[in-house]
Amino acid sequence: MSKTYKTLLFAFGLLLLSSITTYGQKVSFTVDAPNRVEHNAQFRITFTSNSDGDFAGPTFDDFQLLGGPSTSSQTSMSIVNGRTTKNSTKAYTYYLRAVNLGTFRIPSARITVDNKVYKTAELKIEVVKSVNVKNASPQITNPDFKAEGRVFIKSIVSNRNVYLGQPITLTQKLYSVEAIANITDFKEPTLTGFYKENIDIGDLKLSNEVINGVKYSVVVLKKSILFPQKSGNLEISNFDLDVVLKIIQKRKARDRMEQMMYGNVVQYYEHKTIKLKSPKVNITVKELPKNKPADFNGIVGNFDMTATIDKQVLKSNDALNLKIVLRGKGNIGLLDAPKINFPPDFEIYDPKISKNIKRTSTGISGSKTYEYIIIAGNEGDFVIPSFGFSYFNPSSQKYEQCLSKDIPVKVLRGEGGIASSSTGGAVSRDEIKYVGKDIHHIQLNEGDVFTKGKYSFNSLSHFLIMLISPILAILLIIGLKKRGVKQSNKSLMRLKKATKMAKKRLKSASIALKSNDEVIFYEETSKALWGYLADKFAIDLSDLSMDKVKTNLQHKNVPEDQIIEITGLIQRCEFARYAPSEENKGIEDVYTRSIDVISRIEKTLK
Amino acid sequence: MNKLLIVFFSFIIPISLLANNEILFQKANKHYTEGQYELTIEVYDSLLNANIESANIYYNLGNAHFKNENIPHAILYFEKAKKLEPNNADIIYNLELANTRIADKIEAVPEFFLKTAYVSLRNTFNEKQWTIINVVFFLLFLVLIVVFFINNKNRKLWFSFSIVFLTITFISGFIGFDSNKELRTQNSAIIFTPTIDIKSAPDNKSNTIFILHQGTKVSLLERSYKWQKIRIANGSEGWLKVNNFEEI
Repeated sequence: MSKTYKTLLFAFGLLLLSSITTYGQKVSFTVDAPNRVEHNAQFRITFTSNSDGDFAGPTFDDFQLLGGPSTSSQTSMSIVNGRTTKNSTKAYTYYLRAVNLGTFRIPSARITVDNKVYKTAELKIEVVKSVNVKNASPQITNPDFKAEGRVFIKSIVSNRNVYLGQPITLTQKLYSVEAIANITDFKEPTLTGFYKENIDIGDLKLSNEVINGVKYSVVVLKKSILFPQKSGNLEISNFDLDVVLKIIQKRKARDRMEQMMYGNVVQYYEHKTIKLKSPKVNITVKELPKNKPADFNGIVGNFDMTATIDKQVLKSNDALNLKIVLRGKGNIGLLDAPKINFPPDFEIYDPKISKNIKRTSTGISGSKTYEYIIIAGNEGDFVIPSFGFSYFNPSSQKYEQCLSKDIPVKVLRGEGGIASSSTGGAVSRDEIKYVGKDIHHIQLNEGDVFTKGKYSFNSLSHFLIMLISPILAILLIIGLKKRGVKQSNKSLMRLKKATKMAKKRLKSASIALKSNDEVIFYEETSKALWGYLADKFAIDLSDLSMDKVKTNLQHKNVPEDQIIEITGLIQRCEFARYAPSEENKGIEDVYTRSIDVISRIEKTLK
Repeated sequence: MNKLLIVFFSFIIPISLLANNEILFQKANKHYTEGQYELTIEVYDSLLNANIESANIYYNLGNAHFKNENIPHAILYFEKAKKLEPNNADIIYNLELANTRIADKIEAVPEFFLKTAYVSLRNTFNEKQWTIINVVFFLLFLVLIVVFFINNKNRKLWFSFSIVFLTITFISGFIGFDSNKELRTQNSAIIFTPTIDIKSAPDNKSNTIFILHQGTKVSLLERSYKWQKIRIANGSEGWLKVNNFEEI
């Protein structure tokens, strides 16, 4: 266990050591440059580093940078006694020319390796007068010669006051009265805030221009179109050019030979290099007006659009060709295909785009063509709705719109459609296509309007209804109950009274009942019944007959069963009086029934 | 008699208000159809400033804000409309659509199914309708009780019906009370600040727990001075300053 542990530790140690040897290598970063250079001579400065890193070179303010940094690297690896050493060096070389006399400082260069910054030492370089030049030109140069006004360069812009995105033509020209041998070191102006497209001008051509009565030979060096990308004051900085002039020099003839051939004064051409700097050009870029249309896409210029279809009527599943041509002047490169809301039944393929853009000195112009192939799905009348785009027209200073017309397309039933319907009868059906999603429309009437903070539940009216209605219900119940009791009491009283009266009339009959005297009982009962009826109808007993009783009772709305009962009782009594039976069981029954029938008739008659 | 008059007028007043504002409402609708949403909003706002409210005004105002690309306001007014008429399909649809346009997508914690069922029952009618149901069934119950006491026939039938009606009265009363409470209390709000840090405590120095964006609906919990404790749909809680949201 401990052995393996030790081996592991050892191995780890070795690993650590080896890593130290490779990573512990010191970074060296040195500079190599001459201490003293001659005026106008070329020289070089080399920065050397033994590891790779982010290199940041110094700025050479007092020297002319001819080239660089050019990088070169070299790697060497050596194995000595099993130990590997790897050396790699990387050199950054600058080529400079000393243009001014004096002692100049070259700031330190920096390199970043593994997040550490290494610096070189600052350098001092002395520029001394070249000895050679003095020796080689014993002759006096033409004392009249002055570059000013005779040779110059200029940036010419088509418009100094433009709108954002409006193209400007920039022409860089060289004017000269002197003969020019060569042009070198053309340095582009820095253009911040512009997008540039070059115009091909072909070979340099010489032309003539007269300025202030002086005839200049003019060469157009370069032409380009600039698109301002931000508003405000933008600057087209100076551009630099070295021109080699052919200057006529004169000197005295050196010897007899020359004197014989050229005369006393020898004329010859001398090449003289002049550095030229163009003036800066300021351009005012105006912000576009605020009221931008929704589909405005930064297009500035003047455009025109045509949209055509190859046929108005077609069969379903046939192809239709829609051709849109956008033509105009301005930043047409930025112009995208207008957004078209094709009918959802149409199948659209990606358009074929062809561009024909000309960059001339008058600006960018040209056309862009979009060709759509559309397959019509189902039959019907369709409309390709109007489409277009907005642009800013700098000449009218307004936003303008290119709009197509609505394009009607009539799709007839194609062969495919007929075939499918004739074979199976099954029509191909498509799901409804949802084209867009939007909120539902507003409500057109106001609906229930409440006062804010007013609620129905627990409101006063709700509370009152819930409170008052049960009270009313209770009162209603009590009232109805009371009336019911009163009414039933009244009828009970009347019945009591009638029974009392009937009992009175049957008093003698009841005595007979108690003494069990049958004959007297029936006689008394019959008398009482007849007497009651005679009293009730106010008829004399002698006039009373059974028929009269019946009609009178019926007249008074006495129920039929009561009439039958009373007449039956009378008949029974009469019958018992004259033909007494052996049984006297019935008499008690007759008595109660008589009382009952009298009290009931009495109740109804009352 | 006086009480009766009060009851009578409490029904009459809203009707007269409606007549005055109908013209303004139609004017706003006209602006809306013409696409002048700023003007529409102005007119609807003036209606609401007259101390009245209706689900339809809130809904239309929400629509105008939606068309004007002001989604947080649209959501606020749709929510206000939904509070008054929780069962209106248009309001629910537009609110859902507006909610797809905001930055925060929050997975809601699933609710206990009985609570969901209860809420959907409560939202079948609005507060006013529940009140009417409550009153009507209570009156029916009283009528049957009266019939029960007076009539000697079918007493069992009247009694059992009256018990059913009484039960409905109690249930509708409970739900109406709850729906009224829901309407009265402002327990949720819409965030109006474009981006807001939700803090762990009512203190600027406390940690930020999560970040919300405008248009998100939050439940309001307790308040402490200028700070409000909130809860979002997934149950997370935190604090924010009271000027960052608008109550529904």
